[in-house]
Order: sequence, then structure tokens, then C-alpha cells
Amino acid sequence: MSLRVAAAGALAVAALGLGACGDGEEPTETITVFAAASLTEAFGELAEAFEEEHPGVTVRLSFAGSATLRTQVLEGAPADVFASASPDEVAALDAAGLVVEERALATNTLVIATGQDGIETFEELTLPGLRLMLAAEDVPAGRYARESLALAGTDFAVRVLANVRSNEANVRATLAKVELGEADAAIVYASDLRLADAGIRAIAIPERFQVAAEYRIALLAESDAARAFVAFATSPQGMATLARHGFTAVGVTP
Amino acid sequence: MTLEFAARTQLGDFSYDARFEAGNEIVVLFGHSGAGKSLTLQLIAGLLQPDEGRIVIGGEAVFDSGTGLNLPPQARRIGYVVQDLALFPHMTVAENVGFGMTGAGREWRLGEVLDLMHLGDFRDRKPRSLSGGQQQRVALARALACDASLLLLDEPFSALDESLRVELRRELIRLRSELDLSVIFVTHDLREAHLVADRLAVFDAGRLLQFDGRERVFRAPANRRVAELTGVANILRGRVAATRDGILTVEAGGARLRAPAPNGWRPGEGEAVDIAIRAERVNLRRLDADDPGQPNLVRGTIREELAYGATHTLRFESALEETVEVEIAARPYEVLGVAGQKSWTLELPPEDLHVMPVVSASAAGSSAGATTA
Amino acid sequence: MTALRARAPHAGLALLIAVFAVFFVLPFAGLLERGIGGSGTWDAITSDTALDALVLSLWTSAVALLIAVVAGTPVAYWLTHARFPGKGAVEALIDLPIVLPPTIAGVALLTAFGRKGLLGAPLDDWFGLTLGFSTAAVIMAQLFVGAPFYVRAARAGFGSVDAQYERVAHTLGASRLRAFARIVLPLSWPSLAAGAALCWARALGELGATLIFAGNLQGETQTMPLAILSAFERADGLTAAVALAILLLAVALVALAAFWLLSTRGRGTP
Repeated sequence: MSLRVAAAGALAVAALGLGACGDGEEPTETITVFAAASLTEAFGELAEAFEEEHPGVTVRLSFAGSATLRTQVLEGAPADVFASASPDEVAALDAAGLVVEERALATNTLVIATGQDGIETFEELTLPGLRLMLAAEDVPAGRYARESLALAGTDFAVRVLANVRSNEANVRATLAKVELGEADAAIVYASDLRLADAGIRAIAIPERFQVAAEYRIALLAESDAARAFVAFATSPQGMATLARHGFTAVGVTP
Repeated sequence: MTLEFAARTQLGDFSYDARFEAGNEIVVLFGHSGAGKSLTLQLIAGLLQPDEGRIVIGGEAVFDSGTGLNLPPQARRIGYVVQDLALFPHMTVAENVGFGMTGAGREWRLGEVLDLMHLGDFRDRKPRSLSGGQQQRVALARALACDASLLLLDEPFSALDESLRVELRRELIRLRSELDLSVIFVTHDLREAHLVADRLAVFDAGRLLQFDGRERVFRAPANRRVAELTGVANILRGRVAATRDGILTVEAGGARLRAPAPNGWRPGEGEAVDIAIRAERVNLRRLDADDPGQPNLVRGTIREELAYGATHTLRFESALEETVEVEIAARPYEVLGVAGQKSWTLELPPEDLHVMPVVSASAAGSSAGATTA
Repeated sequence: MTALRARAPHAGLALLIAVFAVFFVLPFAGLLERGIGGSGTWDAITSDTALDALVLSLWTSAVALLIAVVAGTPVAYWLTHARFPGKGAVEALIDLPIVLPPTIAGVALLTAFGRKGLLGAPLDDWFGLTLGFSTAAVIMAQLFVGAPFYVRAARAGFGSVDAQYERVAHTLGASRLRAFARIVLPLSWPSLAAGAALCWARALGELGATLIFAGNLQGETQTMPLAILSAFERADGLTAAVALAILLLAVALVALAAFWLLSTRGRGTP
């Protein structure tokens, strides 16, 4: 009896490895996906769709700032897949020999989130007394925001940074401060703003100061299910999901 | 008068009503626990406020519900020794005693008080390292140190052994005369009350039942409850048969008892009365001396006997309705040969009988004993 | 003369005790091993970030402790002696932050004192006073999580002082204040000191509420725990985080030791 169950399980795992959608027998496998905070909703949806296509596979999601996730993985956190908001974090894992393979996932643009009676232009970020919040410098969103400000001139960047009230741990926490009214403005991803309160407006950052955030996805474990998830994320269906959440898809997998 | 006290108050179910005064003397507040003795001290000290009343200490009113006057404890100039002493554990003897002292010559006066209480050798010791009697003296010294003219002592010797009590009582009586003190002394110990009291206030269930000179309270209790509280073993219910020339004849059970009429009160013929006689006042006579026609003689049979060494307590069944308790010293017990004889004639000498009015249970503050007449 | 000796524990119990001890000792050993071995430890400890955070942590937690003691002492004293309906509810409310996760405390503080909060909104509208994401918010967060520990300990301390002492002090002519200062305070001192130490330690270690209510800005709201969290997210993260953790640990140990010495000295030995 137990032998038969084991055999069936082994079969199912094999079938899964081939990308087939087995039904009937219910094998169980869990993969752990670490993803940047900005991907929270997009990956939530992706995981659901993936689980539907691969019965028996459970996707565990862990969202945080890419930097936090990177450190956690470096310290041995059991992640099978890592979706980062910047190539740097992936590179750090690669240098540590933890990456099996990696590829581009999507790009994202920066916008200024502000309340109804907030600022109107990028230049107004320098207004004295403006309560500005950024993601911390070590978080991709924070790094891109600072790079963007630097593109507008050192003096400009210094004046804007003087308005910073807090360096938040991830981009979602940064946006939340605008929603709470604690911040007058924040620099976040365009994708984040799709989810924000009705009361939040997006002020575009001029094209010439834009820094495109490049999201990359890395496979960290030799697991067929994990490999299948990476493929799924970069498939046309995955790309469509990301696009729906405001990302610019750059998927390559057919 | 150092203290004039009158207060009435209600604390939950407990109602309190008392009025007495004290000069340069020791007034003992006596009663069972919960009778209102300690409460009285707290009212005098100002730790509690009565609903109504007036309290005057050393000629100065400290509380008057009529005028709304209510001085806080620290303004009442009293020395208060609580039952568990409450010596400040973190302070030395000198610091404890000197706590309430202020002003010029403090050090000199402190030394004087410590000497007075024989505490000079212990001034730098902590209370914890002192014996019970020494702690007691520290508490007394501390209360005396702030020049109080009124000393409140709540069961001050209850935690001490008998020899220490004797010594400290003597000390207290010495202090009272040396320092012209008024002392209000709370105790539930009858012997102690008898020993130290000039005047005695008997409390029961929040009521002051009797306030009188010590001997008066012991010889002429105001009613059955006071008699019970002051250790009168035999209290008989009777009816006045005749009154003549200051002598009452009372029928109690099947016996006729003669007794002197009480002071200030004339019971009418037919009126119910209580008669008290202490166990040690009842005499035993041999049966052959019996003259049944004579009043104050009753035939009785021993039902129970308790030997205390120096004395024996005998419980008699007799024509009287209640059991009669007789206390007899060891010597007469042997001389009379009580051990071999069950039946005796009991003599209740008229001069040792005290006639009391019958008070209802509620008025006496007691549910014990009183049967309806 | 054989001295009384504690019986040797049963073998199974001994093993349990040993495992338990290792569980608590090992993390500190890990910190030290990483910190002493790490090359960047000293640089991280002496960096501006670390020193700013340390200075901020020390003075904000000291202010939080001061407020807790100044305001908490009378509250604790009053609660010890007052009798009123709903007293239990008031006590439970004061104890509540002890069991509350600090992040909830942060959110709660935000809803009260944030820019859109119950009190924060009028303060912002009328006086232009913004509490959230300021150094004041750091102190408020520390006070919120730390003060209940002090009040609780103070209540226990005051409650353990026999009320008779105070009454006697009054009859000896002492005012309420004098009785409190000379009798109640010295007798409850060990409890007060323990409560203050606990309050300060909680304030020093406060992270969750600060993160949410005060944000993370070097020199202004970035306390040591926040600096450690931020360091952890950097590329060379763990080394710096470990270094800062060791620094905070050392400072806290020194402060608590000093505190302990002070409190036992103040109490006096019999």
C-alpha cells in the first residue's frame, strides 16, 4: 500500500518535471519564492495561476525589500527563486555561487506619489519643509530614486535629500507613508501607484531623469518545480500579468 | 480634660457610636476584636473621619462635623503606637525615634527620649535586630518624641511574652505619671485591662456599652453583655418579687435571691432583671449546713469539673435555670473534700450579687444570652 | 559540620538545563565570533552611522525613562491606593503595551499622533506641529513600550509597603510628601530601580514602533536597533549589523551594571 503511494508520488514528480499537468494523483511539493516588495500583487497572482497549472505544487511567497531578501539568502534562507528589483542583488548572490541561472524579468519606472493637495512637479521636490520619504539607499527603489535625483544635478539632489524624513525599509512602506498622510511625497515605482489609495496622485519624473528599474529573476535551486516557476514568470502569460500590474515586460521565454 | 471624644459613623454594615473623655489617666478601650476599639484610635488620630461628632485634644478641637473642622493627622499632636508597631525598617532606632522631632535642640531631646526609654545603647541599630520588648520601647519612644500629650496605644503588648508585658506595663504607668500623659490603651485582654486602666470603656459591636472607673465596671457591669465581656461567669435571669429598704428579692428559677438594689436605678415589682455573680464569689457549703428556707442558698450537683492547678472550676446543676459556675482555690477545695462529694449547697452572698436591667439583644449589641422576658 | 548542599539534579533535568543554557548563550557567542573575526567590525563601530545611532539611542531612551519615572511614579502611587470602579480596567490598559507587539504599538501611535491621527491632525492643522517621523516620535514610541514596565514595577513596589508605615508617619507630623519621600520611596526603591532598568532596556531596544511611527533617518530617528536593521540590508550587511549589535550590547551591559550597583548601593546593606 505505502509502496504504491510512493511509486505514484515518484511518477507524479517525474510528470511535473516534464511540465505536464498531472491530475488524479496529488503529489506535493513546495517551492519558496523571495520577491521584491514591489512585486507583491503581481507575484501573488502569478503564484496562484502557477499553482493552478501545477497541482500539487505549493508556492510560498516572501516579500521584502530586495536588499533584505539578498541578505537573508546569503545567510542561508531556503529560497528556490529570487525576484529582485535590481541586478545588483542578484549579482551579489551570483558572486556567492548561489545562482543556478538568472534572466531579466521586467522594468519599472519611477514616479512621485503625492497627496491631493501635494506638489505638482518634479522640481517642487526641493520645496523647503516638504516631507519627503524615500526607500533606503540600500533598497533598489531608494537607489534608483537617488540616481534619478543626481541626474537632475548635484545641487538639486542635495536640496531634495534635505527634505527626506525617513529612509524606509522597502518601497511599499515608503508609499504607505503618503497614504497615511505622514509624507507629502515619496518616490516609488509606477507599478506601486496602481494600487494606492484613490487620494494618491502620480507626478511623472521627466524622461531625462528617469532611471529604469531592472527586475531580474534568479533560480537558486536545482528544482524542477522552481525552474518551471521561473519559466512561467517569464512566459507570455507571466509577462501579461506583470504588465497588468504596471511593469514593462521584458520576458524572453517563448 | 486632654481628650473629649464623641463620634458616630457608618462603615458599610458596621455602625459605630461612642462618647467618652480622658484626663491625665489611662483609659482602656476593652472589647473583642471588631468591637470598634482600633477604629476609635483611628478616629482620634484623624486617619478616619466620623460622619458626625466632635473631637477635642488638649483643649483644641481637631474635628467638628458641625463646623466642618477636620485637622489632618500630622496636625493633631498625638502619639500613636499601632498594633504591629510599624517601626520604619530602613531607619535606625535614632532615626525612627527622631522622625517626628523638629526644631531647636532636636539632638538633645532625642538623647533624652532614648535615655528615658533605655534605648541609648541601641540608637544605631536597625529595628529588625532588636528584641520584641526593645522594639516596643522604640515604638513608644517614637510616639512620645513629638511631645504629644495624648498617647494612643493599640494592643501594644500583644506580641510580647508575659514577663515583658509586666515590665512594660510598669514602664507605662511610670511614664504616665512622669510625663503627665493621657493614654488611650486598646486591649482585648481582660487581665491587662484590669492592670493598667484608671477608667475602662467597654466596646461591643461598635457601641460603647459602659465607660466608668475600673472597679465600677468590674463590680457593677451596666448590663448582661458588659458582664459577659468582663468575665462574669454567672448571669441569671430573674423577676423582682419584692423591694424593701434597698434590698431586692428576686425569683430566679426555683430560688429566691436577695440582692442590694443597684445605684441609680429602681426596678419595679414584677420586672425582669439580670443578676450577675462572679464564679469566685460563689461559696460552697456542706449539705448538712443547709437551711432550705434561707434565701441565697441553692442545692446543686457537680456536672463538670476543670482543674487549673491553682484553682478549680466547677459547673453545678441546681434549682436555678442556668448552670452555675464556681471557682474555688486549690486549698479550700482540698479542705472541703470536694473531690469525693457531688452534691453541695451553693451560697450566693447578697453583697456579691449585682442586679442589672434587661436590655434587648440589639440594644446590648449582642445576640448572646438574652432571652425574652 | 556538613554544609547544606543542593541535591544534584536528575540526569534528564541536567540535560534540559544544559540545552536551555546553550540556547541562550550560543547566540551571544555567535555575535562575538562574527564580530571579532570580521574585518570591518571596527570601521562599522566607529562609523558615523553607528555613533549617530548610539548617541540618539542613549539620549532618547534616557528622556523616555525620565518621563516614565516623573509621570509614572505618581500614577503608580495613585493606582496602588485609589479605590474606584473600573480600576481593574485602567490597570489592564496601562499593562496592555507590555503584551502588545511593538508594530501594533507603532500603528496605534500613528493613528493617534500621526498627521491624520486623532490628536495629530488638529495639532498639525492648528499649530503646524508634526509629531510622526521626528525625534519626538522616537521618544514617544520608547515611552509607550517602556513606561508600562516601570509603572507595573512601581505599583508592585508601592503595594508592598505596609500602609501602616505611612499612617504612622502622618501621626508623627509628616506631610504626605515627606512620608512618601522618607518612607515609601526608600522602602520601594528596589522595585522602582528594577522597573526603571527594565523600562530603559525596553526603550533602548525598541524597534517595531519606532520603525512605523518615527521612520528611519540617521541622526534624527535612526536608533541603534534601526541602524542594525538597516545595516543588515546593505551589501556587506551582516558584518556591520553584528558590529553595531555588539556595540549596543556592550553599552547596555555597562549601563545595567552601573544601574545595578547604584540601586544596591542606594538601598544599603544590612
